[in-house]
Amino acid sequence: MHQDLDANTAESASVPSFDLHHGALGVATEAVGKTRKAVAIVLEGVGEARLDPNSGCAFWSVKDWSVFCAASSHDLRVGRPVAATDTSDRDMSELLWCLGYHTSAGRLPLGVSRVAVVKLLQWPNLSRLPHTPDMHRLCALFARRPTSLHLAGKLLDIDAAQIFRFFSAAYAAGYVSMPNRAFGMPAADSLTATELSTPHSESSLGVMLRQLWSKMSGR
Amino acid sequence: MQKKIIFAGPVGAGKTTAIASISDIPVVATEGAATDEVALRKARTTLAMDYGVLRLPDGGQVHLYGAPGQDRFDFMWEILTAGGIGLVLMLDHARPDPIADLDHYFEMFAALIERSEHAVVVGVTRMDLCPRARIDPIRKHLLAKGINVPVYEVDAREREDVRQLLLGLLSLLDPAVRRFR
Repeated sequence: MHQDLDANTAESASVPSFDLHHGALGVATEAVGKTRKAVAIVLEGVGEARLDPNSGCAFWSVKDWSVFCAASSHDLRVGRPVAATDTSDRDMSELLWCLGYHTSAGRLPLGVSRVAVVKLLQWPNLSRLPHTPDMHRLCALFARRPTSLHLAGKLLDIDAAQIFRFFSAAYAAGYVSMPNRAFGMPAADSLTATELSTPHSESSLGVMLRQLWSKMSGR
Repeated sequence: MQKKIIFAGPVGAGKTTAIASISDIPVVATEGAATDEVALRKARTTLAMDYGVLRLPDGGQVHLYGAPGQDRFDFMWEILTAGGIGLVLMLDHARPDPIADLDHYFEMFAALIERSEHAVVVGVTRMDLCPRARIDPIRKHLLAKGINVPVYEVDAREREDVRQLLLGLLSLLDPAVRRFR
């Protein structure tokens, strides 16, 4: 599910970053990618999560996600789940999205460059997952054409922290691929500076859509 | 021409309820007593269409049309979709074969989907009634057809859920997203 990441590049060194192998996210991704064994992750007084890579199911009950995801491996109790999966369980990828989203806190995973090109393989179930309104637009763009995180921010006028958080969640959940990873170097986006800077007049439909977006997103 | 968002899907999927949840006016519903097999599920059903409105700051409106779910009203669908900018397809997860429903409505509304460049979102309702319900099979079915669009779990009675569906649809229509291929 998870592709290997490059070692740090000069580009990624300047971007706020976090370690994917840290804490609850690290435990979960190791269970999914390596051990393939069911695991329960508990932080006393804060929450618990359990997942089973074989059934693809997960359960979680977390009072404070920021505390849960910031906890180091030493503070977590990790072991085999006592309870079997039941009907209240949800798709495991949704737990991974939550862990990626909250662990990121607006940072990128170590080794990921903001000019790396990203493709959305499937839309997340955003009605049931933490997200911002602009993350719908990021999904639409990355599904439509592979684009770099940097260019996505320019095209959609979305701040880097949101984009990094989106990528981290989607990457943890397995919803994105990075088409240029095989070469280890970020691919240059095909858009030219001229295309980016060319102003586009807004149609009446565009005006309507912008107003409706503002109404629905509450901004 | 009116700018419309069309709500479609099988009987009982939550189209009328979803429009009522989000509309800025009370929904104009053309209901009547259900007399066929629908009566086994609910007492009343949409006969022609449902109508709601989203009001915009400049005085403009976006019209919400709910298509009747029964196939014998399918002659209405083409009329309703004229001027449609996108489709909200509601699926009832408690029906025997939601994926067959998905295929059926994608076929019936193919012209609108194509004209709008795949501006379609899928809202899956009544998942709380189905143990171990997952939207993943529906999403995978669409992906196998090369269709990568939002598939969201929703409760049509919840305005917040319907709002998420519309945000998904609007993001597909966003000129900044569509500007580059």
